Amino acid sequence: MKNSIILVSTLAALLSLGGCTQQVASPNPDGATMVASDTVTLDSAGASGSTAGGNGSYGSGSTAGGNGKNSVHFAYDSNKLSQKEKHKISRDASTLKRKSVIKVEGNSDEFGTDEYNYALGLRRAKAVKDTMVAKGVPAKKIKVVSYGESNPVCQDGTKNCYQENRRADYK
Amino acid sequence: MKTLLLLLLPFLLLAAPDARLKISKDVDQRVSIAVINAGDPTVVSKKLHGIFVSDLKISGHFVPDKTYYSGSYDNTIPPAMRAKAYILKYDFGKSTSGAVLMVRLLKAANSKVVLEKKYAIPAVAKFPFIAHKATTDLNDALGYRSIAWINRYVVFARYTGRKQSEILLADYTFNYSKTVIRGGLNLFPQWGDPKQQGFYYTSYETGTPTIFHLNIYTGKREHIVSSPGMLICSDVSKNGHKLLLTMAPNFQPDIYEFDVASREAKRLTTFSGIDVNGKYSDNEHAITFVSDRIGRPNIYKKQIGSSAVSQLIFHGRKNNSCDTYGNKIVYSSKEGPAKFNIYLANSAGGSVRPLTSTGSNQFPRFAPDGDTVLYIKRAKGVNAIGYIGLKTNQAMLFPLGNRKIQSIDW
Repeated sequence: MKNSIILVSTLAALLSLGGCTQQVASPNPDGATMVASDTVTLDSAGASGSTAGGNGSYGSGSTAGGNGKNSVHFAYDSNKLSQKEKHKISRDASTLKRKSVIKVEGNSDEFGTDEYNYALGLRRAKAVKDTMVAKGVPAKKIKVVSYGESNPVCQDGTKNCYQENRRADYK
Repeated sequence: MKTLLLLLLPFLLLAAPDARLKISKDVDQRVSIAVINAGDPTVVSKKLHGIFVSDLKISGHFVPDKTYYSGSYDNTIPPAMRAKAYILKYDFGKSTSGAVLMVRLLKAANSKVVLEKKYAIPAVAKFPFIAHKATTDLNDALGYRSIAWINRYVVFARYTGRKQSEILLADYTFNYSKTVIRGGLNLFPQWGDPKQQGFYYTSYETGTPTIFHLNIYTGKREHIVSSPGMLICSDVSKNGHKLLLTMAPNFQPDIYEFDVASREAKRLTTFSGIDVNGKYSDNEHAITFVSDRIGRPNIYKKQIGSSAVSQLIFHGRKNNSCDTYGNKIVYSSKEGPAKFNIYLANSAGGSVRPLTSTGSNQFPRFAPDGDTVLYIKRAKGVNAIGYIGLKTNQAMLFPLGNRKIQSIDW
């Protein structure tokens, strides 16, 4: 993990005391009112959330989760797995049982707004976890996380494309 | 043709406020004003003219003349401008330690100086803030209702790739923006205090969602809480002591009230579906939030400490984001595949007022004065930030480019 402050203003926090953040209470020597003292930039590069599937650029029509992952898909605004998708997870259960850690990532399409999409992604990941557990995969091995709409495999703006993004990936 | 459209886009966006907004304020109640660039006609000083015009317009107290004028910085009023109520003259120039702006507000009829002031800024790139501050001061000098919100930073996250995002600060017109967190997946920035010293945000850097607080002036970053599944800071109490979190320690998204000092979280909702987007209301005795408890997202309210939940909105099929100010609620409602509109309602009842009518309009947020609503409009692949004055009925849009905004706060 690398976090470094690459720029810190010499004026810094001492100059940010007014009624509003950027207005400074005291004038400078020329009698001018100082406005908008400088702020920092935090570099989180290398501290990426890009675990499985993240490649730093948006997808363009690919339907695979990528990086050896398996994916199951959901209907619009739903976290219910179809029989077909449950069967897919059942088929993988024996392989999953041999793994020490299984990561399930829930995703959504771009519709809906911010928090709701992350909650929907989580509910989808949870549905996959529950199905795995029902097939004998130990619950303690399964890590669940939602990436909401941040991890699309497709951005073509078509119905099929949006469907590809309503998914949970597991590995 | 595409290039021409791109060049024209900012102007088209600025000229296209939402059609269903009813302009009810009498134009004659606002005063006319012209803005004169009395300094060197540099690129930045010319841009300042447009920013002054935007500031004066969004205030709802002025009818600014959009024409770019240049002239001298004395008290002379060109004869053609005598019919205006006020003339604002400004002189912007670089200095050894940044930049300096001098402004002079004159009564057009008699050249009387109403306000004269000098401002300094440490970085020229922040020139929009110097205009915002000057406009706020001249607005105050004339005794109008405060528009201090235009001096505030907007903090927002935008996606840069799969599982990649950045968090930026901007002025309200987005003429200034600066990345404050780059690299990785960092989401849901939420101001942590009224003075905007720092903000909370969700980081995925360890693989487990974690909320940090970042002081934007010192760079001090503080770990607040981690939780598996998902974790979002949705609101902060006025004194900054408590947070409303959407958290899922058992993979069940619910709203929790988190005490920053003790690090203790109290679960406020217990529904088996989705409860998110908690916002304090009723002087922080209640929360307003989004829930899918009737099978689709809608807006609900709950007194803190009570088990009863009441449905607040009886309009729209999918209302999946909201903000509150006192009894006022703004929410976005899904009305088509890529169509969202924003509505204003009151938790005490009454009619629902549409604030937008075309395109995709999301992330509604109240200004600190509760009289202005910020939102993100997306139309034909292009984002814009929009402002609607609830009292003045002024509406403005500023282009944002085509990167998808993830979340926004101001």
